[in-house]
Amino acid sequence: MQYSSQAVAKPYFIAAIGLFVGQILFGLIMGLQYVWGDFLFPEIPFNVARMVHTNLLIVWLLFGFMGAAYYLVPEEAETELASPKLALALFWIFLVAGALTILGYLLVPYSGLAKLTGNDLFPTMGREFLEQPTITKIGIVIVALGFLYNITMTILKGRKTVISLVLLIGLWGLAVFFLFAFFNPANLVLDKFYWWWVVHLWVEGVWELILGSILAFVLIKTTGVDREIIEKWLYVIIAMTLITGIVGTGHHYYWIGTPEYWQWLGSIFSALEPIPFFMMVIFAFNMVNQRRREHPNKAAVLWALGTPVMAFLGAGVWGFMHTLSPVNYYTHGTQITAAHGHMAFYGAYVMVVLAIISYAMPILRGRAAANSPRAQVWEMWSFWLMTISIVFITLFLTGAGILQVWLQRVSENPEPFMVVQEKIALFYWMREVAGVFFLVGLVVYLISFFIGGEEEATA
Amino acid sequence: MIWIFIYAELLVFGILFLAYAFARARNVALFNESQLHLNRTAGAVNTLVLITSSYFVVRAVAAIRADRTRACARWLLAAVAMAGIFVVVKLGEYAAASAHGITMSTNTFFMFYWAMTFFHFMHVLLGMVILLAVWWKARHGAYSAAEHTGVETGASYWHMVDMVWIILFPLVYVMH
Amino acid sequence: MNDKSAMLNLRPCTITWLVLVGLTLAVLAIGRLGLGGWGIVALLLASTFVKTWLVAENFMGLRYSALRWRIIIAVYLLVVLSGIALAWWVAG
Ligand code: HEM
Ligand code: HEM
Ligand SMILES: [Fe+2]
Repeated sequence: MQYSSQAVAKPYFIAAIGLFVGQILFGLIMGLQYVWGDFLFPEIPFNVARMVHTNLLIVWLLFGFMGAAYYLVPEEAETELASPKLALALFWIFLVAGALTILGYLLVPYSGLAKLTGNDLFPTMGREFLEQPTITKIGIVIVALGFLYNITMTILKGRKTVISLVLLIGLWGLAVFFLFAFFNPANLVLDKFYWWWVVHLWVEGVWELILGSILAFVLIKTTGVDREIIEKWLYVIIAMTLITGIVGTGHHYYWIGTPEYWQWLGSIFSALEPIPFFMMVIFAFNMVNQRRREHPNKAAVLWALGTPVMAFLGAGVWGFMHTLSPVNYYTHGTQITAAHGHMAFYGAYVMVVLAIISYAMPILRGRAAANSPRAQVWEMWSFWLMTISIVFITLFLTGAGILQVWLQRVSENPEPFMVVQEKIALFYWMREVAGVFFLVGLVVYLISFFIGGEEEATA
Repeated sequence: MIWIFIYAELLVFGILFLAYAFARARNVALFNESQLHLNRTAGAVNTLVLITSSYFVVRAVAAIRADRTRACARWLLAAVAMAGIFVVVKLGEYAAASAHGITMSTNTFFMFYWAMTFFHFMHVLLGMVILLAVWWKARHGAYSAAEHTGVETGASYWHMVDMVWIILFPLVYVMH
Repeated sequence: MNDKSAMLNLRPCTITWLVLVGLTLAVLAIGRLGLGGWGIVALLLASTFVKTWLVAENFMGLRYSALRWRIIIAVYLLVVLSGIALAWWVAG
């Protein structure tokens, strides 16, 4: 470790992995409820499990991003973090607030939770991904502000690199767009309109900047390629992201009561959104091919190559599949959407966080530049297990989705929703099996941390 | 590297142009009729302005290659001034359209008109910022005959903006 | 200095600029006269190709860069312009 304050990243990464486990368990519970309706009823209703699954996902990714920033920024800025104490304090605040919120979901009926937290005074709850009680949302903003202050001050006092600036813009964007979570107009069209400013402009806008900069950082460190080359790629990638992604929001404005021109704008611009993801693939492989050194951490390189590939497949290919409005007319809100959501989130954001953890964790734990080869073998097994499982989850959901679209929407004699769900239950069973393999992969991942490390790093 | 970016941008515009052309094929009468509301002279003036601006930028690059820093800065400033005229004319067009109640929702033709010209307009503004930055650095002697990558990069971007308009103008304003 | 040598003294980029201006004025004339039809569309597309190609070669300086970059631009222009022509043909 070059700067002692980078150490604050460690608790963030550990918390991220812990919450990741919780997310997957709730995914499995829901997967079972899909085929066995009253499993765990009434203790954990489907809607609660869903909320826990998706919110845990977002929260652990945020932990991962913050950890990544605390690790990466001092090294890029060549100076200690402005305030490691603040970073640790915010860690505990965020963790406790997150845990309380999840417990609230599980122990109190949602409407009760809303009443308890005074949602009627300033209603913001009840919308997918933004289910958190208003007070939790305020907490998130406070943590985010403290975090941004810390990171911004560090960058201001130190060396300013393209990587840290792109990361900073991404993180500020993340916080700014989250403010729309507080905007909850009574008009449903407007509500949905701005809801996507959080959801879409996150994953297809500012988060992509975070993704690009973390990826670039890991690639610089593991390949030793000139910073200048990597920076130029980063410029082009983020420019394309913003050019296509901002107007691309229109692909969510087809059927919610917005003006008709969104059919065109959304289709055209979002159809080009795969370009930056594709560039990331070329970029990563180019850098690794031109590498100047053989970094001992093979696992980190594997994650760094896997990230753009899976992101391109999940976001680029699976996103493109249903993004044109004449196609989306049939596929909107079906299992195709879920298939895409899983692969895109996994490929882009889960994997990039695991990549930086893979690179940074051995160093944070005082090992040499990498874990022992044996630990790396376990980690690489977990890479393949989880990645292949998510591919199968995606394929099974896509199969379910195609049948669903066909029987329920395209067919001459459309069948009712529940009848169709019965017919595609086989796919749901297979998804659940793939999900179990995912869990196995995750357990292998956890084990890899407990496998004997290299001798302690000297000096 | 700037080339990859320029090609990516051209791709975006290319898709827009083709979408326009094929959308028109489905509704020729509407497109032909709506097109008559556009101000062809304003469009042509703006084409001339952009072409000239591009030409000034070429002169700026030639000047810096001959190590004539001051001349380079002057040509750049002239190019930005031309771009300023483009902006004024375009805003005038937008104001006139708005006064006639023409919006993106009016019909498919005007949806494309607004979307394409406005998207291009944003590129003009960005190009101006880039050229101004290059001008600023040139004036402070940051470039020389030996090292002037910045000037060339800015110039290439600006020519791309020009090139797109050269296609856009006949396509949207004239062809029917 | 007589007229002829003044002509010869024009830089290549200035000549390019003059050609571009001329073609633009021609497009404007066509527009103002409201001309249409097959011949005109072909003419407009051809002149657009010439103009964009001139900008790429002489202004952007592609003339001096590797062949593949020039080919990409040429293919791009041909695809877009012939795509437009195709759309006009489909429209009838
Ligand atoms: C890493 C980037 C991405 C992530 C994490 C992601 C994630 C998601 C998620 C979770 C949803 C479901 C939202 C909901 O209704 O609850 C969704 C919807 C959608 N995504 Fe993405 N996405 C990404 C990139 C893309 C890209 C690049 C495209 C287009 C090329 C795309 C096209 C779509 C479309 C069209 C929908 C709406 C589906 C519907 O109508 O039901 N996505 N995305
Ligand atoms: C890292 C891995 C995972 C990620 C990133 C992820 C992400 C997501 C996301 C974004 C959604 C919301 C989708 C939407 O709105 O369309 C979702 C829903 C869901 N996930 Fe996951 N998930 C993961 C793993 C799993 C696993 C292993 C299972 C179980 C086998 C699972 C089962 C489900 C189910 C059943 C839903 C609800 C879909 C619905 O509402 O119909 N997930 N997940
Ligand atoms: Fe989206």
